[in-house]
Amino acid sequence: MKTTTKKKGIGRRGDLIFHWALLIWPLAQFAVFYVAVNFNSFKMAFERVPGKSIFYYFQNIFDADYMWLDVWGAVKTSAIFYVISMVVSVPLALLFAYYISKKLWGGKLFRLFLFLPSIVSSMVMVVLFHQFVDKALGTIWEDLFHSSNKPLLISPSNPDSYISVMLFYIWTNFGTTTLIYSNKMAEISPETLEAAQLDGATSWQEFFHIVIPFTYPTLSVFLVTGFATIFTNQYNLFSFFGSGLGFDTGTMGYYIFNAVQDAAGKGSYDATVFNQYAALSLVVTAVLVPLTLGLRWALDKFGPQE
Amino acid sequence: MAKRKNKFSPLTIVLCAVLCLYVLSMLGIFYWGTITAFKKPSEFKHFDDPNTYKLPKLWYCNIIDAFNVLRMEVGAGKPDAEFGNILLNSLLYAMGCAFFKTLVPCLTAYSCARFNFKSSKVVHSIVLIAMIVPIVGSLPSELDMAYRLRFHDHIWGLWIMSANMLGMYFFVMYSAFKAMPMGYSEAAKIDGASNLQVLLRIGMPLIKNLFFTVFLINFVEFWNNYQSPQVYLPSHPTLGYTLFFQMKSNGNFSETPQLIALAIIVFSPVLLLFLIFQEKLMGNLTLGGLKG
Repeated sequence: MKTTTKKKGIGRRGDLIFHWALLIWPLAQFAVFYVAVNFNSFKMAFERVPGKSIFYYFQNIFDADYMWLDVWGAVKTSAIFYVISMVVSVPLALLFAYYISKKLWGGKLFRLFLFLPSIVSSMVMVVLFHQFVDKALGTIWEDLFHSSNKPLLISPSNPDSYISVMLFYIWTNFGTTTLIYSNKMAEISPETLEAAQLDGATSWQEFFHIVIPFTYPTLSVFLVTGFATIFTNQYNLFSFFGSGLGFDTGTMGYYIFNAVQDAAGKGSYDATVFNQYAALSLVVTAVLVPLTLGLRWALDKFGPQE
Repeated sequence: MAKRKNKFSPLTIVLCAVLCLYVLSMLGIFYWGTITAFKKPSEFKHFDDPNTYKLPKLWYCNIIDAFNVLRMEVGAGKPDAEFGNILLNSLLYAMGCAFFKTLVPCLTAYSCARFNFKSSKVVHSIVLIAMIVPIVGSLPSELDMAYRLRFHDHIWGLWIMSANMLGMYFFVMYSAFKAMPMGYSEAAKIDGASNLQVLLRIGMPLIKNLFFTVFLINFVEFWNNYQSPQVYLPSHPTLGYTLFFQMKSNGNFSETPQLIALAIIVFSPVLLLFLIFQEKLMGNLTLGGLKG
């Protein structure tokens, strides 16, 4: 009996050693590239500038003559892009998923084509779309309608560019979400749907009263994760315009990435720029974390139950 | 039991029409791209009679030109990167990062799912919290760290940076290892197998399909990513970044047919993988929700 316990003890210690051997690298990596990186963000944001307050970089953010107008512009653009993409993309993705889950004509083909843009580089899609809209669409338009007005030209100076970029974003972003929604919808028991049909439910009623409540847990995950990326999502603006957009006209994701890549691209380490955007990132995170957690709580509390 | 047949309704008819238009738009742009890649730049932008959307009058392969003509400046005093260098950079970056980005969550998930220690639960919670908490813009700090650790401008530096346990695939692999009966490893241990042998001969073979799928998804993601190489690998341009640079900076390969040809080169490996492993790439994407 004693020998068995002893053997078990040795086995348990062996397991513990092996368990930790597998965890050493991931934990060390996490310590450096998550914990230390985020700690470093604080350090950079609060770095002392001779003769200035410790909140110097934070004060700059809210200084109307320095950054505030750009920051506020970026917040507004991010919010507009997010709302439009949610209002248009989410219902369409759900409806497309509903069609695919019904296994009707062409469902597999549609699934394939909806997914295709998710695996193609966004840059490839941007090049195709950008060149087509700018170089070919005008001629096609002219030949078809004998009108020389070029629709949807994409250029930083053209305000209509945003419509093109938004259309592009919606057009290329159904893939993964539609696939996941349709997989979830396929789990609805056929008996439930059959019972609803026998009771005379229309497709709309079936969609709203059975499909949406059943898909809601997955939908709420996408709503929360989508909201969490509101200030990191560039909506392909950098791919379309490079550094060409005015600071106040891009999204927050574009604004931060553009400034940091520009500083990094100069080849030398520019602490002032990095520290400034580390401070901005902290402020944005501080605003976004409670909002995201609040949204998750609200969706859990007030959303429909399966 | 007879299979229930779904019928069309007004809603599904409208959806079918919209989806058909979607497929046509996608096919249309890829068709336009393909014929444009085979036009001479001079024909495409001819002053009197530009051929911007019809079939080429003279078929010309810009893709071959990319192999011979394409050049990227990588900094003062360094020789320009040619197509071969760019392709090699892309492969090393995408394959290496994808491999480590798959291996590390896999081993972490194995360690947490198969050993019932308190630390297993702690690590599981850490990954979950890191996934839920939205941290905006750690790029300045990450870049600062990459400079300090001398990872900047080294492909191996990005391998190390991407070798982390975080992300959705940790949970996917965790579930797979959790579902594996404990009896397998216990029987092997009674027969004298070590923990390492159990991992390599039982654990890994059982999830090799999942491992490969996650690797494929990660490979596609890294292959397509041009912003990380732009920021972290200025002297090692990848194909994705080259495409961006040529479009934005009027490089030596920036006419529309040339750009589209380059886009086709960037897209081809992914398309090939997609055609071969379509079901693997599309079939494994299910999610129960964070609540679940």
